[in-house]
Amino acid sequence: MQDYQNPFEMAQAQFDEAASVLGLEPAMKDILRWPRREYSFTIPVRMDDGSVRIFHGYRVQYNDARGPNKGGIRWHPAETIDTIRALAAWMTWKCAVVDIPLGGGEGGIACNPKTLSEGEKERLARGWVRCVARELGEHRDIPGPDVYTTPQIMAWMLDEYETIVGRSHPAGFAGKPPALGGSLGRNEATARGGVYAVREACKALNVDPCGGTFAIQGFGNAGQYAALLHPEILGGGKLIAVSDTSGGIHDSAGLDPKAVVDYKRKTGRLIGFPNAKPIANEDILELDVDILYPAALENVITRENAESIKAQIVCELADGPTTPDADRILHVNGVHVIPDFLANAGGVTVSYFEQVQGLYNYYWTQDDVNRQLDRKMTEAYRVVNQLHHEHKAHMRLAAYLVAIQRVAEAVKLRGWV
Amino acid sequence: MSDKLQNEASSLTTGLPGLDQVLKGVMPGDNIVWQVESTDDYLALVKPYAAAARASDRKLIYFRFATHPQLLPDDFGAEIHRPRPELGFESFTTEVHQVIGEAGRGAIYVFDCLSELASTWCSDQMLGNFFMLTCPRLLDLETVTYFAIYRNYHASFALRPITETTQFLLDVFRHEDHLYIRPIKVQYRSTSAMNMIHAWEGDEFKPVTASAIVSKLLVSSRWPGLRTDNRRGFWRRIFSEAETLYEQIKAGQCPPEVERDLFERLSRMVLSHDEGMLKLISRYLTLEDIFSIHDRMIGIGLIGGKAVGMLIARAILQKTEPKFRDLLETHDSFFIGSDVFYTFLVRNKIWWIRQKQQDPETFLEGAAEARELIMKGVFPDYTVEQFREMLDYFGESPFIVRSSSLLEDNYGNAFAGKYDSVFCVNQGSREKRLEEFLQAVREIYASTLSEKALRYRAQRNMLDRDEQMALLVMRVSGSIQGKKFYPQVAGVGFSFNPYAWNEYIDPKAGVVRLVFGLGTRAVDRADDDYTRLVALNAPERRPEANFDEVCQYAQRRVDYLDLQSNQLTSGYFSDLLEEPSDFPLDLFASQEASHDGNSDPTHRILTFDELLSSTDFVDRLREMLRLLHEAYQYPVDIEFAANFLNEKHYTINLLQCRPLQVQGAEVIRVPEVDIRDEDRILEAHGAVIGQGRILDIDRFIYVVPSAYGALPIQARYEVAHLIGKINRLAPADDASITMLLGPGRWGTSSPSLGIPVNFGEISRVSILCEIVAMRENLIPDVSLGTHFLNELVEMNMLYIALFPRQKKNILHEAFFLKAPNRLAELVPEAASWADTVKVIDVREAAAQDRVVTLSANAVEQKAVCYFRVPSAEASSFIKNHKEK
Repeated sequence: MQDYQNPFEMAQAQFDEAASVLGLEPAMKDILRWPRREYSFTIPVRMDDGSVRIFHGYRVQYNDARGPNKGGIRWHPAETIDTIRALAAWMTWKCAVVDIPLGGGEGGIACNPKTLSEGEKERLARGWVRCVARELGEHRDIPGPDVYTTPQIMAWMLDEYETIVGRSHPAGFAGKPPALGGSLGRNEATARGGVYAVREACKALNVDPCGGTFAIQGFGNAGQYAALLHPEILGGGKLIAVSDTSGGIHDSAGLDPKAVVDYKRKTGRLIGFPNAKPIANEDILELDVDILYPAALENVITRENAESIKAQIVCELADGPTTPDADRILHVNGVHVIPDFLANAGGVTVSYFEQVQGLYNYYWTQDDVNRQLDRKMTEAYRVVNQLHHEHKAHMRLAAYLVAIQRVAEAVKLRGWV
Repeated sequence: MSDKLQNEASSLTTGLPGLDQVLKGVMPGDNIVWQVESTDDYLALVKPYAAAARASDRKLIYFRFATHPQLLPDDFGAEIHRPRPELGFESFTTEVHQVIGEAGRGAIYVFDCLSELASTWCSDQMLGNFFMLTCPRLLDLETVTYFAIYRNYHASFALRPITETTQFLLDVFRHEDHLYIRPIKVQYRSTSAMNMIHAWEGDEFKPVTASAIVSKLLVSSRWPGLRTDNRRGFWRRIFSEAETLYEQIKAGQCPPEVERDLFERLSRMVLSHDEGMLKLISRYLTLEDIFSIHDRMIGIGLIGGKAVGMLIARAILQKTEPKFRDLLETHDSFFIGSDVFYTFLVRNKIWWIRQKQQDPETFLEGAAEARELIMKGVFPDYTVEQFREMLDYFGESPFIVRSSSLLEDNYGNAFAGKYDSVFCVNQGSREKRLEEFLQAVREIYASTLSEKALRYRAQRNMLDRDEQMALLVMRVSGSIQGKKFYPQVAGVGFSFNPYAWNEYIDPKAGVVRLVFGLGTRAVDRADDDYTRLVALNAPERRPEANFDEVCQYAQRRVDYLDLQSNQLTSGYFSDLLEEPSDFPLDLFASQEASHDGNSDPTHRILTFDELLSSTDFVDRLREMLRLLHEAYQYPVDIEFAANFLNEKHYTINLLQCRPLQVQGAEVIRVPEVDIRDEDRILEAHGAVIGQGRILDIDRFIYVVPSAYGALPIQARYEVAHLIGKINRLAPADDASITMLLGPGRWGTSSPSLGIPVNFGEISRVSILCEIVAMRENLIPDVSLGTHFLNELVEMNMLYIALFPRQKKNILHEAFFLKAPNRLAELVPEAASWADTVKVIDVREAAAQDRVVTLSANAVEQKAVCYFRVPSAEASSFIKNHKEK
């Protein structure tokens, strides 16, 4: 097992593996291995008790060869520049794998939003924008929401930015509330994109989507939408198990997704759903299903349970559910993994649609959003799967190959290397 | 009933359609007795009734005999008879009955106010006799009759026969220029709405369903007190003399020390023997307060700790801060003295069985038999009669019967929850409601002999202590919503906040745990649901950072009284909203986003956001807790409920107040100075989050900071999963105490800063300790439990942060490193982790006669974990604690 002390080292190692398969020249490797620009700044905030507290803020613009940087802003107490760098790198590859004309970035503030009042949150959001406003904008860098940054926070940030530049810029920030130019379909985009990819995988692997079974581990936003959208998009499929933090439910005769979602919304949990048997969270991963959606936590498929995974297709709606060791075991065992940065790229894709709509100042219907998302995800899956076969690489590596190749091509065309 | 009359029955009416609706129609044979404050009020009811009778061409007969103004004028069209009471009972009765006999079936009658008969005949008893003779005759003849008597005027000699014989007894009173009607007895036609107070507004009689208004109306309507217990005796004589003396005191005829002596004497008779409580009593209660307690008392003896705590707390607030006079819901509780319990035991032949419980060798012998006898026991007639009067007072309003033993809620005692409290939904006929109430009393009496209570007393060497069981009967705070009854918001509060998880939270400002509906969900922690934790100086700071998390940790189930099934039950909040309701929903619930991202009016999440941000509710609760804390000179905890009458006006019902409890403190008392330095395993002067407690540890799970700090990121997830495996080894109902210690933040998403467990992986742990150390160059911040705060609160888990490098703090790491590690035995496949994860069972690690005890105090922010030799008494506690 590799000993990574921080997430950026891990991101660089993943890049290195793909770069060596692609045979990138040293200068290209070097430029893609590091962020192009990093901003680190202090944000003074007047607290409710009258004191002033200094927060540390960051913005990393990883690579803008394919277009303006795009990426989230995290508010997290354990925020470090290395985490932000890693996320900025992954965002670069994610945008490239679904072929949207944007580069990658990420930002953050080291803070614990759980300890902040609403007023303090607003002043902190506006303070962050004041520090980096000159580096932002729909043609330079488009921040969006991430851990603990809500649509309200994005709205404050947009307002501060527009106040500074003195004009309307709805395309400058993503994840806004619909009333301020947010896109329809944003909430379900991650799950919808993942299910489109699953549909394509079924076609590629000759899995009958209508007769198949599926299970979902994690029943937050993405998990619930996956339950509802899987039968709708695939035209069938039987949900036989779902789980959340309180435990799981299982019914081999099939669970009604709508009833399960309604039950979860009403009761806050899945346990107790009528006529279903309880199942442990970890056991759900090992069920004999055609399609498995890990939609909750990191590192749930490990070298310990990877041998027991029976699903034909694993669609990683969560970030990092499979450890690298487990990834190799799944590949050897012929389990088809749709890796996280492809499977959950629906979110960033609709976020890009939000920017496009903002630029046009013309907003799409939900159908328009769904149709365009389908097109992007279908094409992305097809290309990754093609490389997966061509290079005999596991799907995660194949996705990296597609993404890095695309960024490298742009760098080359620009003459940077 | 004859066919003709049957056909005509539908034409019977009070003349007020709204009132007919309340009474579910007037039936042939109904005798309706109005208990009025003045003949004007009676006249207001007689007029439409008589007019309707005349309009329907029925024979209307008016008995005119009193000196008050004539009710129906001579030319009204009624047949007027003028029998003369002054000629004596026999003559009067004979004349009346002659008229009734001649009039035959189906007539409509109006009597002048009967109260004058009692004064003319100088006897309540003769009035009662007249009624007992007349009423059944009228019933037989299928007539309808209006009678009246004055409120608070007659003794039970008159009232008892009237109440027993009549079909309707209806109390009529005025409050703030409105006329109210309260059915006291309604025969054969009980529905929950009928036995409520109704306000006469225009043509309508609207039920008053909110407890806050009902209690206010009843208390202001000069309820006469319990009247049926006419037994003379020592107790009654003392009170009678005391009342006379009080009149003299008020008239300035006695020196102040007489008043002081009298107050002290009565306080010790009725309220408490506890010196600490007596100090508060003398400061905040008055002689008048004791007299009004006496007026609402059934039986004699002390009223118990819970009742005194409630009364004192109310008095503290209302006397210290005038605004609480209006803000507190009017209290109209009843007190059942401890002698009722003793008499019950003697009469039902339980007394001698109970005596066996005083012997530590035999304390469980016969307890089951005694409980069975209690559940079948009968009460003396005079007590049942007083119970009936109390039920008549409540009508069909729900109430709760609460144990109020002398040992409960005094300073230094923690008898909470050992005895039962029982809700009486109180719907149905008078007899059915009486039986439900008697059963509730029996149930609480039986709980004094429950194994749980006996063991608890045995542990404290209190088996031979006189455990007098008084009862407190309280109106349930709330209102009727559809077919359910519940308060809008309820909860528990602490004047000292043991959950200061954030630097902006001032522990001294206090904290409340709020629930929608009955507070039982906050008092009895629910492991399948959450409450809203509110730091009273910073209500907007909450451990959830976005709305998804708020939804995840929101209360979903609500406890309420089901008026149809007559029981306490719970249901989903969303189901409650499907029934019509009239409370300001937006104060308590926010709209959840629907699947398209817009707010969805059909999905509501209990956030209490508006309540906390747009009303002064938080300020008032904070002030309440501060005043109580100051008066007790000690942290307190309270139970409360609150109801909004509209978006702005609300009342708070203070249900209980007692000194803050430290779990286990009454059993394990080891003075700090007696702990030797070499016995200290751990000492933390830093964050202690959760209610203070003293308990013995069974198992430590210790993650070695230096070993963990050297692990790569992936391996740290494996450690987290391993802790989950160890956690799952314990059965769900395992009562053993496990303390989990590890470097950095438990539950972090960044393994570089701590151990990335999810809550399911540590759910069976009792104490969670974060050691603020990892590697030489990395000292992570502590989480203060924020990753799992809602779970910590709901599961009553304790969090401790330990800064080993700070002065006075101790971490005896050698103990953890050298003690036998059971990891390889418990999880053989994880044996390779033995240098990083230590599973230490105290039984194996400590010398035979020693245990490891944790004493944690949130008020002092201090926790000490140490070896000690248990005393016999403490061992018994520990043994039994595990059996529970």
